[in-house]
Amino acid sequence: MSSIQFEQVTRVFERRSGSYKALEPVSLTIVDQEFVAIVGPSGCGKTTLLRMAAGLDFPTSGRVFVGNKPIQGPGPDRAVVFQQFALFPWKTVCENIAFGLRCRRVPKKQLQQLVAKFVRLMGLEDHEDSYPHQLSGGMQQRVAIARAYAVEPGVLLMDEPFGALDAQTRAEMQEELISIRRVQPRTVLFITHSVEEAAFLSDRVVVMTGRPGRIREVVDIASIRAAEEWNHRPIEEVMSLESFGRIRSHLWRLLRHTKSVEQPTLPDTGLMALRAAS
Amino acid sequence: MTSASTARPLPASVTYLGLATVGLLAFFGVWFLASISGLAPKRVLPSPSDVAVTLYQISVHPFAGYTLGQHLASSLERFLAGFALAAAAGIPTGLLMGWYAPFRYAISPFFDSLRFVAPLAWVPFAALWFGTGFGGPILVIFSGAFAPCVINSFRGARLVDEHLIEAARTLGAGHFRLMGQVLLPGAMPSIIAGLRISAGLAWQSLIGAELIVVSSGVGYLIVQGQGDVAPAVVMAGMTAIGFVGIAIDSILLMIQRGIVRRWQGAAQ
Repeated sequence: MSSIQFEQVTRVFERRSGSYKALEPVSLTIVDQEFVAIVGPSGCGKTTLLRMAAGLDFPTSGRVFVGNKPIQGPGPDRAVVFQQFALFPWKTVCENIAFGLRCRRVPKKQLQQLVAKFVRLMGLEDHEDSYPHQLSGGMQQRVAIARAYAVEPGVLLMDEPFGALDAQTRAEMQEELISIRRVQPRTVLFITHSVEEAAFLSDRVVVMTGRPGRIREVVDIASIRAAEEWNHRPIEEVMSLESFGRIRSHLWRLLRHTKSVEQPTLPDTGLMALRAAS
Repeated sequence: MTSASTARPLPASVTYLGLATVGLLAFFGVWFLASISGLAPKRVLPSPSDVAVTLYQISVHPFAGYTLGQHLASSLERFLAGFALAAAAGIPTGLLMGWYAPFRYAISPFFDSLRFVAPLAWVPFAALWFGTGFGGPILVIFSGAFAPCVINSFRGARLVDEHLIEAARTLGAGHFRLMGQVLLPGAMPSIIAGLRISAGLAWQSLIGAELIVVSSGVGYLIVQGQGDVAPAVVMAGMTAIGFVGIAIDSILLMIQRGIVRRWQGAAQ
């Protein structure tokens, strides 16, 4: 069971200029093998949530559980894919993929089998001995995904993994991710700026708003996705479906109208009056 | 105007070689003229040809007990030992300072003040603690070479991409693996730059130490030349020091270029 649970999680960053509240209490449960994307503007705390699940950051209050165990730090049950790929430039493709396995002291034969398996799965067969800087951005991110999958984690944490790729490569990678998920199902927490990407990939989309970060709404699209077999259709076809269009506009509306509706600004005079009174 | 702006500039390497030759010729020309004109008497400044002849003579016939090659070999042996020791101690110290803040805070005041003590100031203690044969000079070299190793490893470790460290941690790397397989290679370009500075300082400190304590080596050869009032020998020794210094630096430069080429991905 690899569920992720955020329980009343808050995060306050201490800065020289004072403390900065990044997250209001946030509660969210992602069940085993579910794909959940978080969308929201920069500074809404979505990456902070992912880093907490990874054990790279810790909540100011509240608790985070993975597989019902509280998180103490990075662990073998969770792997992270970063936007910047974060490949070791001095290691070949194979050595990058093998890194996590070596940390775990996986026996040599099993290690080679696992590396070969994910090299094949990510279509990296001709690049095993290349260095990262010899590969295109898309290929580099394939290596990073293979490296994360190779340790066979229950949970995959993906922090805007396709944000640095061009539009065409990005679409290819999105389809690729769905097809890997069919053979290697995992619990996935996926952070993105892109409404379309979130809708195309996820079972549920969490819409967050910023400063301080909070969950605006959780949009469940798992049933539509299953009924219309999104996972078996090319991206351009899914994106032209009426249901996809409806979900996309709904998500956009949530993102755009939150601030002005929820946070009315006090008129100047009122503020002055309040100050005068205190 | 037009012809000047469209004239193709010489390749940088040709320009560089040309200017270097001009500079060297001018230097030796002035030196040569000064000595044949009698402006500088032979016992004050030997002529370039005297130095060349002396270089040949001390290479073939022993001076101060050994030939020039043997003196150089014994200097290089000390150099390599001291330099290797400084690198072996300095690189891990620097990486640890970059990785673990309490260690950095604990060691900084001590280290910052110590690095202003010139290597030659260690000579009395070097002789007292380790004698004048092999150990003493090595402490002097070590004291010259240690600081740049530490500082550059420290800087290198601080400059390693934070995402690489986080990636390694989430993949399950322990402290030891992180130091050896992420911080060390990540800091390598900076470490090699530091080693070049270290090597220069080590080589200089060594000659300084040899002037004072030992009974072989190029520094000792120079002291004996001074004692014999043989300025050509002194200058031949100095020339040899310069050439060996260039050779050491060239080797490290080659390694540095190789590493930067292989590491290029890191910067992109």
